[in-house]
Amino acid sequence: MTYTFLDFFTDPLLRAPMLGSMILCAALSLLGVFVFVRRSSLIGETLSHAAYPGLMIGATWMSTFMNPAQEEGMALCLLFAFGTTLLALMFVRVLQRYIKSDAALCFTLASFFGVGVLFGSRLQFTYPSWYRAMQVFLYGQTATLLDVHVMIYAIFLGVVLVYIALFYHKIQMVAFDPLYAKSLKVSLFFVDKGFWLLLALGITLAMKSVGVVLISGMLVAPALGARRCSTSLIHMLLFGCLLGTISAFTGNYLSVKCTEWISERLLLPTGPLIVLCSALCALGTLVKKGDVPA
Amino acid sequence: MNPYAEREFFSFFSLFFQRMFSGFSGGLFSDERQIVVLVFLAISLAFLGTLLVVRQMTMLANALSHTLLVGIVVAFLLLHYLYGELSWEGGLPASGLWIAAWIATSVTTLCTQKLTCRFRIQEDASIAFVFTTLFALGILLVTLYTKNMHLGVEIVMGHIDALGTNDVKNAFQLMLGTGCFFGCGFPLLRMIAFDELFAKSIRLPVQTIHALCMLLVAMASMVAFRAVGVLIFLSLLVGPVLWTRLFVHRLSQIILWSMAYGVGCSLIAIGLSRHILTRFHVPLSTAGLLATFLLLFYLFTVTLCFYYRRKKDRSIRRIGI
Amino acid sequence: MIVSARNLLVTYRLTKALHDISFQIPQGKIVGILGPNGAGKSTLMKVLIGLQKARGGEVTWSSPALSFAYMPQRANVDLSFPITVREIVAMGCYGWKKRLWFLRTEDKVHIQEAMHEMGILHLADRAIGELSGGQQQRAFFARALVQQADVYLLDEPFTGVDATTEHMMTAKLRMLQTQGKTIFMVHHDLHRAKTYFDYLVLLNKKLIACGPTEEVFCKKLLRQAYGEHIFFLDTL
Repeated sequence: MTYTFLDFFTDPLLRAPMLGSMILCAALSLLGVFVFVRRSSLIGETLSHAAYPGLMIGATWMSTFMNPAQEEGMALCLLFAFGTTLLALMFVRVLQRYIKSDAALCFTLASFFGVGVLFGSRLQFTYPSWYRAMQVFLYGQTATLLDVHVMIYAIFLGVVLVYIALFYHKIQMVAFDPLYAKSLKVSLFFVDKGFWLLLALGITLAMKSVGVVLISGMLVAPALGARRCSTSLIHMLLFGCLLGTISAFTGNYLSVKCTEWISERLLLPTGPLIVLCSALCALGTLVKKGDVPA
Repeated sequence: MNPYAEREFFSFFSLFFQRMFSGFSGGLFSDERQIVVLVFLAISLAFLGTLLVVRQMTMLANALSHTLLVGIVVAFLLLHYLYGELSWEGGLPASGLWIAAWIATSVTTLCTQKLTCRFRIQEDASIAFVFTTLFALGILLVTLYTKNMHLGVEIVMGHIDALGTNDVKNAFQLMLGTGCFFGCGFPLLRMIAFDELFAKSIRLPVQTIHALCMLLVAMASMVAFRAVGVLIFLSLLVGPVLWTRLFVHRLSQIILWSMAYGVGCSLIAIGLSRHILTRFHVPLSTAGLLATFLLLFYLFTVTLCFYYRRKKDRSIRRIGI
Repeated sequence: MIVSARNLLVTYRLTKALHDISFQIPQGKIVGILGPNGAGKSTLMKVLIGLQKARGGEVTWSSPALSFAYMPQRANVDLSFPITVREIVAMGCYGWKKRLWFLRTEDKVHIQEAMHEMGILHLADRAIGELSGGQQQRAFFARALVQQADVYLLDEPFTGVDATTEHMMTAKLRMLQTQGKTIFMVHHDLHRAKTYFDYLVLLNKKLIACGPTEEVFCKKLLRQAYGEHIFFLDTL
């Protein structure tokens, strides 16, 4: 079955995945730019893996009185995932005071994921259907996005934009020189804790489409590409957002079209395709812009 | 018939040591293969983990373990082309592991260095970028080659019950290799880890040694992915070292204590897994148990240390020092 | 002449870190490499010892058999590393043509002597992170002494160091000079430059001057290197 360009935005089967992933990737790219300038690109990796035990714990509890087909069950599991992501965030921050941040991130990542694997193994034995439903979140399944998800993602993007509009200068200051920002005695609550909260929320929401394992790519790649195209943070945000949206579109487009062009039986997963497209865009800008004088 | 079935924690270990001292008659059963592979892995990772933690390269090891997926697929395709149909059971032969490890290490380190040096991207971002891109590529290749993502999940999760004799052999070779590498070069490795510039000034081959280390890490994660999955491999890499560093402050002692602790935790995890299966009839993941135990015991020890230090401070204040 | 540099050009990404560097240094001098921040002093030292490649020009040492002892800037190392003072000083015994694994008795004797000379023998088994800045620098200096090289290159050895340590190290350097060694030192402040060094290399990305201290250490040349705004507190 051949789809035209407009079908991707109108066809009831295709529009939710397309719009949903475009909006989500736009939001993630914006957050990713801030993570990039704060030199914490690896925390995205840790937090996304820390969401996994939340899913498993949630599913273990839900499985006792619900079946996985119900959307409320899924939503509650995502709530648990959000909880463990926040827990991991606090854990990493505490650990980083006493050991090197590198080791803190790695240990948190591995331990939390291990807890998830433990609960998952029990779930696999007791309620395999729930287990399978949760495993989907590892790599994401963009094709199962619905219009309601698109609305949720749009609200999230709105929140991120409002956040940036309100706190732009403070975020810039904290990202550049946190010690100096602290010395000015301005209130950094929304800039510091609020930012990580938004990031945790973004990661939880993105699990459905891109999946736990690949979220980190969506945070880093657009920011990396945008870095070369701009010298100011505002431009970097704009370019990053643009890159993220374009790669989400291309990823979805190719995923559907490859089945059309190559083989009916070939089903390319959308998550990895989106990440690869954003990586290619980023590499393209790096190579085109070339060396920047010191 | 597995003699370990229906065994509880202590009888499990008594049988294991009995069989060990009588030379494992009748070959290794699956539980014994698990123990052997995990013990060898814990020993190797004590060496490598200590070095990576002090050099602050643990996230690079994380990146490497992800890009292995690409290495495995390429190695698989290569071996398939050279030797015909290959089965996934029994594990990849050693040659396949070496090819995969070498490909993964080279590609990851080259790309990361290129991004950091040539394009002036900060190190954390270049590591994150390289490994997520390569991992995404790996998943795509796996899907194309096997028409499903089963392989990808296995690499992330591991499948300890499916360990074959190849895995045991590979784990043993890894332990020997790591042991020799660290045994022969310990003072030099310590020097390079502490003060790279000084090491270069006395004309030591720093880049070569660095490359060898990363190759060993890649090999270790290759051996580990079958047993515990690449993410728990990180737990075993970093967990024992972090716990040991709470008390011990000399590099050689950190390595030895991490080894002991890693081996101990692995044994406990396997024993617990069998015990829970026997008692409650629930097959829990050994890898998950191991990671959870490492985390909980670390938290427990840290709490004890804080409590002890607070008590000491309070008693000192009371005496009026 | 122990070393001569000809038309050195060192680039860092797209800018020139050093250019038009040509000088000759006689043997047995204590040479100070001076200049403002970003002048390329550490870069020059790395190029002299071969740790960094020059884009153009060349460095010629008087003999290929010369041995070097390099003391990098303290900021380069992670001081929370689990390593003791003795292990750091022992690093000086290693090298391609020296030891690679076991240390012999004579090495251990040298290590003890070096630590004794620098007054850190009582700290031998303490972790490096527990020591003060001055004690740490003494440990690194002891490492350089153990190397028993012909040429010593020290990059800002007096940063964050107390007066006692500074005097101890300077006295030791003078003693090395009497034994015919040549010493290069990157120094960041001008106050004691006149007393420490017999020879000066004044840099600011390019060579401003190179010669005996009496000739180079004058207001005109210092103004050229550091800029017109340099203020002299006392007469030179």
